[in-house]
Amino acid sequence: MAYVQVIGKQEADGDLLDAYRAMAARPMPSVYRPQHGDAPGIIRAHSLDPELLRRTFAVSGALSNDALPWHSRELVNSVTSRENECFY
Amino acid sequence: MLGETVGELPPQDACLVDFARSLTARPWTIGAADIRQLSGAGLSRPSIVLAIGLVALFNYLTRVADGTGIEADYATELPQFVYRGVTESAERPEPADWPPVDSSIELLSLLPGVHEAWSHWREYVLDCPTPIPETTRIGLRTIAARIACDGLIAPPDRADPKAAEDLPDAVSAFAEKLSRTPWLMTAADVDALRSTGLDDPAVLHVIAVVAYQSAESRLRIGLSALARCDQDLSDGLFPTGDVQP
Repeated sequence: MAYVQVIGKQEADGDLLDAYRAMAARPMPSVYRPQHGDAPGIIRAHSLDPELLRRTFAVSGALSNDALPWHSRELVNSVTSRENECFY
Repeated sequence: MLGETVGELPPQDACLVDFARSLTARPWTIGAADIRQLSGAGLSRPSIVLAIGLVALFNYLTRVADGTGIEADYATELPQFVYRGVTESAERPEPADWPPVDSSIELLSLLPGVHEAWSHWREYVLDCPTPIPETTRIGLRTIAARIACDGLIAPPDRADPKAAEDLPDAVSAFAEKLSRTPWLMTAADVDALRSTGLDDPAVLHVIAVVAYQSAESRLRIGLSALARCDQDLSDGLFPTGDVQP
């Protein structure tokens, strides 16, 4: 259970629900879609502030850029997480 | 990627691994030599900007993940993640040895839409008047920047450390821990924040500001090192042409 209140897709309404729908509509590899059917945890972590959620993940979307191939981007992301001892 | 060796990776990826590790754990060591190593492996200027941006963003995301205590989403066939049991981060150098940092993040414009998106994000995280006040945001930023050895926000000889000093002890301790050792964050750390009167939306913003500054400091340090290679750029060191500004 998260340390901070998290609002999932089923409980979301209004601005947050709109933000979740916009995020789900973004093109992304199927491997990024969790099997539990809710938004990914890192997105739900921002659920108390839908505007923060939108602006944060606009950056991640913009950085999905082919200046590096997908596998190299994933490598950089994974190494950064690993260096921070983070599972994410 | 769960191992420690990069010897079997292609040279470009091996260089990216080394760079991501250094910019994350020892940002104060990043300089023009690191950029030359990347370019020497054949990486273009836009691809280096992208690598810097990704490292920065994931320094934000990992701190939000650890600060909020979210759980893993994905089933995977990869070996289970195993914590290395690290309890301390690398020792920081004295401020005199911090890297020079530029105020501009304009180099993000080498990638379509990134500068605009990043600036839009930055404006909200750092300037939103609620649910925590501007003075709190400044104090949190000062702590996170100092731990990243970013003299632009936390300059040792020009600092106004009052904003950081005025934070309640529990808030500054939270910022220090999330900046330096995010992997050690626990529910008790968030409870300590709540004990100062912060509600959960405010706790989220405390986490976001600290995580954001940890990202921005690494972004600026990386981009500043790239900017110092401008002479090399003009000498044709970098491959060109895969992405245009």
